Amino acid sequence: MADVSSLFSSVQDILEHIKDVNQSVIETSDSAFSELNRYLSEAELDLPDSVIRALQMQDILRQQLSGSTDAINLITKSISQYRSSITEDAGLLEQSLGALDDKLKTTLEEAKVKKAAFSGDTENEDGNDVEFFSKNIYKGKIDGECTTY
Amino acid sequence: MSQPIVIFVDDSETALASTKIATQGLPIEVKQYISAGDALNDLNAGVVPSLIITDLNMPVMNGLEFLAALRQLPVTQKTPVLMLTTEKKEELKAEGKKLGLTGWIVKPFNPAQLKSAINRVLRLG
Repeated sequence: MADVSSLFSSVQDILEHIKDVNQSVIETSDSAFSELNRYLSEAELDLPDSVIRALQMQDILRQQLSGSTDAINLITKSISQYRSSITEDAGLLEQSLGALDDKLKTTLEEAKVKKAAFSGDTENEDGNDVEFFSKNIYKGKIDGECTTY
Repeated sequence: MSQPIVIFVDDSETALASTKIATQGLPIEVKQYISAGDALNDLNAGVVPSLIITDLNMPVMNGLEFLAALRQLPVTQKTPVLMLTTEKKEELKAEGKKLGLTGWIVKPFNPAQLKSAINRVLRLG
């Protein structure tokens, strides 16, 4: 029993390490892109559309790493619950292992959904058309009036 | 006459910087916020936007919750709102439509299309 718990403890340590690496990459890229963006913004350069699209990839990369960190948090939580349950009652080992397996599969599915949600449309180099939901677009309240057209 | 105010809300500084760079040259005043709460604070303090462009996936208050809050404020009840997000799910778009969302832009945006959308909504000519 102790061996199983020890094995999962090692898995948790590895996952925590991956999480730390993710966080470090996020912070480093945030810092680097923040500096780059500040320069580009202040210089008021007329950047090609392709460069502005490239700058946005850091945001997408950041979201992807955050998504994988969320998945790691869920996995380590599930493993902690499992380790706790088998420590309390060795008879629950098989039952708990099944429950852990179910949780990990669910976490994987959720992580895949999140990956798709955070990917945007990076493959489409021309960009997507803006999707308007109504032919009547409110102009807002310029000079206190609301105009519909 | 003052320029129309366009508000951008995104929890990513890089995303905000990209929109700022992309909209340079347009006859608009850009205001940027790192959270929906910060934007709501300024709206409550008297800022009157002509257009709001917001991210969807943000901590504390997401884009749809922000949109719902905007529709409760007299000053932004009918202000056009565009969602600028990596999400493409039809269910989320439908939820936005119910709340009176004006349109949906998938990241990474094409700068020309973003400018065109702003021009279309504000009729900047």
